Order: sequence, then C-alpha cells, then structure tokens
Amino acid sequence: MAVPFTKVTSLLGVEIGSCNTRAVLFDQAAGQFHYLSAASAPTSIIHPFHNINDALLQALMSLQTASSRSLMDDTSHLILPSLADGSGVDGLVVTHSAGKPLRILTIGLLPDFSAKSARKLALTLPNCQVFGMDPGQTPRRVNQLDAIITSEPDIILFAGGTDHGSVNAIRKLEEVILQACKSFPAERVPVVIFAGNSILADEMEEHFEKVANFFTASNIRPEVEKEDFTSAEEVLSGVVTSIRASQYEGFKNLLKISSTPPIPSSVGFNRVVRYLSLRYPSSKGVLGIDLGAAATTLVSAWQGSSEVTVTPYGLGQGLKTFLEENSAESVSQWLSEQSAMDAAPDYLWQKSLYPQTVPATAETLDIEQAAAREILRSSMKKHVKQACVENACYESILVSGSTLTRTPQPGEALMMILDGIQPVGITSIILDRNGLASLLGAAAVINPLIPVQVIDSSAFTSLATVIAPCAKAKPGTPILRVSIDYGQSSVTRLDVKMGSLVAFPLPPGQTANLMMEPARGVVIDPVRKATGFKVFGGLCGVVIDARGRPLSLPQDGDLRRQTLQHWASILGA
Amino acid sequence: MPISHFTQQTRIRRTRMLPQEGEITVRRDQKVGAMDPVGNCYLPGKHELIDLYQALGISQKTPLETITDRNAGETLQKGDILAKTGKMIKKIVRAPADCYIESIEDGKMLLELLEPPFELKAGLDGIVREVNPNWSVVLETFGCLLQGVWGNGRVSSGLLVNTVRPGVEEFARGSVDVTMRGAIVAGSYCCTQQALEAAVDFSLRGLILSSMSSSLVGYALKMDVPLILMEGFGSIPLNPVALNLLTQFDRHNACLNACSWDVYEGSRPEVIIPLPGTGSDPREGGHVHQGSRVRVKVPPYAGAVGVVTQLRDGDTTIHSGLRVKCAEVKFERLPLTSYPVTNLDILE
Repeated sequence: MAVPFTKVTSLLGVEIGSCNTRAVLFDQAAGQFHYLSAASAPTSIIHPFHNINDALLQALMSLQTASSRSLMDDTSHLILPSLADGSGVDGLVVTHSAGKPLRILTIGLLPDFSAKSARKLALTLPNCQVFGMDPGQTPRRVNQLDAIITSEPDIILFAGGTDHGSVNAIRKLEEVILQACKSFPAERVPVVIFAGNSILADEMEEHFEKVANFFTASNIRPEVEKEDFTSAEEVLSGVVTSIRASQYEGFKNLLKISSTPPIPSSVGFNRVVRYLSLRYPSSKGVLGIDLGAAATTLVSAWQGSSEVTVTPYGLGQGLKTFLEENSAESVSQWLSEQSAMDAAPDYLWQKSLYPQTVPATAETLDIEQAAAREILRSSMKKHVKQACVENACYESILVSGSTLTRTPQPGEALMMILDGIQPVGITSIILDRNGLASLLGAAAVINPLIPVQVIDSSAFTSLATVIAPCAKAKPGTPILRVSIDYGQSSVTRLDVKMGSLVAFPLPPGQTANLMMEPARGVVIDPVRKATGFKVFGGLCGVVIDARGRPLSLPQDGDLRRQTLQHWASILGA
Repeated sequence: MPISHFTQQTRIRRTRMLPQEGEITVRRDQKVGAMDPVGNCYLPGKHELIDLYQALGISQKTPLETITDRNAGETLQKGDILAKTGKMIKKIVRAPADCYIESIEDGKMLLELLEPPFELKAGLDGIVREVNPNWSVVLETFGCLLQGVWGNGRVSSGLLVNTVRPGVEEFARGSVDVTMRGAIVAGSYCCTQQALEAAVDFSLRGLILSSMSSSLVGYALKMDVPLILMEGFGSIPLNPVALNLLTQFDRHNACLNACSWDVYEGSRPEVIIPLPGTGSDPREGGHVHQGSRVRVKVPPYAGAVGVVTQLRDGDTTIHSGLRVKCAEVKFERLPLTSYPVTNLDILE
C-alpha cells in the first residue's frame, strides 16, 4: 500500500542514465530530509540485457552496503513501504535519460510562433532527435506527407493557432498528419500530441482515435505573445516515459511501484534550477548545467520560470554527434601538451565507441576535460541564443555531471566551467557532487520540502565565488583593486590586471568581506552594482577571472600552452 | 557487460530484419550466401496527388465509379490506367511511375511512388533457420567469429588474405597488390587515405583493420569497400587473439558484415569464417571476474589482452587521480597492472 506523501520519511531515487543507473537514498532525521548515500552500476538496457533490472539490482545491492540499510527482501524486491525494523523506503522516484534516441517531429503553423514553441519544447528532452516540418516551406500537401513519413517519427508534436483563433489551416495540417499516420505500418505509427488551438482538441481526438495513439495538451501558444508549456511538457514527458517503458523490461514494473510517474532527467533538473531561482531573488537568475554521457542540459531560470536547452553532446554516446558537428581541433586548443593534442581526436572517437570508460591517465583526463570545455561552449552558445540572454551573467551556477563534479582536483572543475561557460559578473558556483538535482526535482512532487531540506542540508558543495569583470583594456593593465578582509585584522590587497586569473583561498563555510575599486570603464557586474559585499567560501575560494569575454586563447602555440599551464597552476588544476 | 567474441568454432545465429514490412524471399532450411538477398521491401517513397476529375477535364459531379475501378491498396506499374472517360474520344490518366494507391477521396488519388526495392542481404554463409513472414529471418552457421567495433555499413564475402605480420605495423598503400583483387584483406592500423584508396583501386572485397586514424572516418564511410575496425581509432595493434585466428584461417572464405555497432539492438560489425562442424552458442553478456580474459578498450595499452588476477575491493585511485573500481590484469608483455573495470572488455 502506498504511503501518503505526508508520511514519507525515507525516499529512494533512481536515475536511469545512458551510462549508469544510480540509486540514491534520502532519509529524514529530526524532521529534516537529507542525502544519505548513493551507488551506481552500468545501465543494462543495452544488448543482450534489454532491461533495467540488472543494473538496478546491482546499484541497490551496493547502496545497501554503503548505507548499511536493508532495502530489498529475500526475493530481491524493493521493500516499499518501509518496515518497522527500518528496512526499505517509503517512497520511490525515478528519472531517466537512457535509450536509443527517440525521433520527435514538430509541426506548427507559423515558424516564429507555434512551430518555434513546439521545437523548443521537444528540445528540452534528453536523448531525442528533433525534426521540424514547416508548412510554409513545404506548401504542397504531398510534400508535407513525404516530410512526415521520411522523418520516421516516434512522436509527432503538433501545435498551431491561438486559443479560439482560426481553425482552417490547422484542419488542413491535421488531414495530412492523419494521412501520414495511415501510411505507417501498424507497429510504427507515431504517437501524436496536439498542443494547439484548444477548440479543436475534441474533434481531433475523434479523428485520430482509430489511427494513432493520440494525446492532447493545453495550447503551448494560447496567445500570440504567450508561451505555456506546463501541460504539454507533462504530456510529452509521459509519452516519452511510456515509450521507454515499452522498450525495456522492468521499466513497467518501476512505473507501477514509483510514488510519482517517472520523468525525463532534464525535467527534474529543470524543476530544481527553477526552485533555486526562487531562492535567489536577483534578476540575474540561476544557470543549471548537467553534462551527461549522451546529452548536456542547460537551464536558465529567473524567479521560477525557465528556459531549457538539451544538446545531443556528451562525454559518452554524445561524443559522436559532437565530433561530427565540431572539429577535433577545437578540443585540442585547450590542451597544453603536444602529445595530448596529437592523441585527442583518436581518443575521443574511441571513447564514443566505449562511453562507459574512464580516463586512466593524466593525459586522457586532460583530453576529456578539454572536450568538456568545448561541449559546454557549444551548448552554451545554443542556449544563450534560445534563452535570449546577452551573456552568462547569473547569480549562481549549479553544476551536475560526473565529469565536472568528480574531478581529482576542484580547480579542474572550475577551469572547465570558467572556460566553457565564461560567466560574467559575480557568480557563485555550486557542485552537485552526488548527482541529486534531477531526482530532487522528481521528489518535489511527493513533498516540495524534500528538495528544500536536502539542499539546505549542504548536499550541494560550494565550488567558488567567481568575479569576472567586463573590461576592454590591454593585457597587463590594472583594472581592479581588490581587498579581501578575512576578519581578525587579516586583509589581503591586490591589483588585478587585465588577462589575469587570481584566486583567494576561502574554504567552504567561511565568509569574508570583499571590496573592489574598478578602474574607469570596468564593470564588475552588469546587474549587481555594489563594489563591496560579503563573499562565501568554496573549494576554490574566491576567484577573479579578468581574462576577458569572450575568452580568447593566444594564437601562438607555445604561448597558448604556457598560458593554459599558468591558469591551471593558479587554480591548482 | 557485453562480451566481444573472438572464437575459433561456435554456433552463430543472426537475425536479419527488413526496415519496413516486405517480402522474405527465402524458405526455412534454405542455404544462403553472404551476398544473397533474403528479403526485400519498399522504403517510403514520394507521394503524388492526382485530381482525376481535373486530369480528365470532367465535372466533379460525374460518379467516380464511372471513371475508375481502382481501389486503395492496389500496386500499379508505370503507365497503368488510373482513370478514363469517354467512349468515342477517350481520355486516359496513367500512373506516372510504379506506385501504390494510398487513398482515393473526392476524386483525388494519392499515390506513393515506389522506388527500387531495398534488398536485405544475408551477411553470412549459412542456413535459414526461422522465417518471420514479411519481416525477418534467422540465419545460422558454424565457424570462427571475430567481432569488431566500427564498420562502414557494407557487406561482403571473399577469400581472407592476412597481411598482418610481426614487425609490420602499419597498413600502407604498399600492403596491397594486384594479387589481392577480390579478396578480403586483414591489416594492422591505417593512418593514410592512400592506403584506403589502394583498397578501392585494387577492387578488394573488404578490409579488416586493427585500427584507423579518426581523420579517415569521412573517406571510409564513403568508400564502397566494406571496412571493419577490430580495435578502434588510433594506432592500436591487432589483439593477439584476433591475430591468431586471422593467421589460422588465412586463405579461407570469410563473410564481412561491416554494419555499425548498435549497442541497443545488438548488431555489431563482424567477420565470420564458416567452418564445418558444430559448436555451442557464445555467451552474450557477463561480468568481469577473476580469470576473465579481457581486452583494454582505451589508451593506454588499448588492444592489450590479459587475464584478470584479482578484483579489488572498493575504489582505487588510478593515474588520472580518479577513484574507480579496478581489476588487476596480467598482460603477456606488460607488468601486472591495475585497470578500471569499465575500461575492460570481456573476450571469449
């Protein structure tokens, strides 16, 4: 029997990732939820297993050992709800990003409105290939039909028309989609989701009833200038989950026993970043980055609303797409050793064949971290364009994904973020070292206090407070006079020069007062105007990145290598 | 984890599936060659919408049955009559190409134009064991199996010629000559496009390389000669188990299925050398344990084959500074090395 949400005192989170399946245990102590332990095992959806059970069982067994808590009964079934002896858990939440990429075809009436919104929504899901059919570019009915059929979609996301707006053009498109669905073999008919003019929803349901698996959602463009993904995101997320459940053995059972319907990882991650943006009421907002094996998720959130971009670039399966769309040289530019530069293209292609491998040597670690910089850069470029932001000026950046959070030295993580994201102004960087973010997003449905309390229980680690001033000065010119007061009469003063990177040690949990005097024309933060404020410590302390934006590397090879080594040495990377 | 097979004698069963519903053209227990088609289907073609009334120049009030007796679902050949009118002066509308009638509504005939059918090849010399009408076949053979990691999407069969020799590392243009025309050539690693061009120039039936520079991916995908990489990208020598098998079966007939590696579906580039005799099914998945024969997947020591002597408890800090689960592996020519378990491939 399911435990009422209010009575849930222990929670198991399961994330089925493209490389690893992770099991995370949350528990309540003294009325507060906190993170207890985590374990993982290679995801077993690949051939010959085609299931999620093998990996889940392994992960749960490791979690039992790590947490010294019994989670499964004698028949290896999860004990749900928990028993009086403390074994088992009261709730289960599941997020997923694994599986063969799903093909989503988006169709809208107008390219700058419904079509754009439909595409934007589809691009928020991990492991999906998104195609568009633009009726404006493809006016002939037969060509529209060809476009739908040849794209072989798993899902058609169809939008168009404002609520109570015109219906004729949508009906014409509907006829084509209906015809296309009839042309597919029975077992390949795509799922159709209509998220357009709500006046047509019932009529369409009737038309599609015997032709395709059909869903309706509220209009994603109810008004010309208004976008609303709330309902469509839920429907799309549910459809993706049910497709995955039909693909892999064990998923349906997980669906049955989970406390809330499983959601794609990016949806959970989005929720947590939105929540964080409410905690930082600044207009700068919060950026969330989840660098995974198959995809990279970027979420910009401002006071509870967000923009999500998921790129098919990652440090596992996502390397293939990345290398097909970007040159390997773009990665090599971040490497300081010639041997690593020579080895990088082959190593990365090899890694794309074996996504679960880890860098065994310092050189291969350097190569993966260089690739991470470029993946972040190209993903951020797409995100900035989509989110219509001028630069990466955020109050806080939440970083997830083991390449970024499990580095041997914290400075390596910070270097990747500074080089890849290039934040502007004053930003605190937070690490999600235990990969909790997307699961907390899923858990919020059970009890909104779970993410709040877990985040408050220092489950996330402060990496650094970064100050990246905007200045157009020659390298070597003093642009900022900084004094940092650690208290007890300990004050450090320094002139920061253009092109430099400066680190002040300030461990996590400690604070200091920072005073800055910018030179003329130098903007410390485009939004926050104060020149003196309290800073919070982190694993890398307080870092002033005066290397300029956009960051450019020296053209000369030797100088570039020296520069990279110098920057790395400053942050202990 | 999946297992890579380098097996001298085993039973090999492979499912070949049509991308669309079509026709399976072989019967159960039929013997097939690697290049033989086992089925065919039409891939989605372009559509044409023909307004029969407009094409015939008649009123839409004319009953449809008086101008056409065609029905949805019919397959037509180019020139077949779609509709006609008149007794004295006939007007006729003909099929513009081989096509399939998808629908006829309000006098509008929607045709799907049929492209030449897609042919599904056997990909191995063997016997048809199962037929799933209109969709797939299961083929079976016995022999030597070598599984690769990357293929350029082509299928072939021919005489295997092994050029991998101790001390000769690189597969270069000079590694092939006119005597190898029509053969499947096995070589070590390839760094130059000229070497691949030689395979095309000398009309090789296929290439089996230990590894290749990633800069050649674009050319390799375009060339018509089937190509399989056994180890991957870079300058990775052929693993000794594969080398022994290729040497042992030099001048035997080999089937090369250079499909891409689909970890979800299980299709994998592979070389099959049909041999008389029988064998049992190879194990498909397993876990690394003490005594497992393993291959290193990524540098350093990529391609090296060894035996696991111990699985370490807990996580171990490796050279990169990461802490991961490790196994101690005894390689033939390397000192006992501790290696991340995820970087090891089980070989059987």
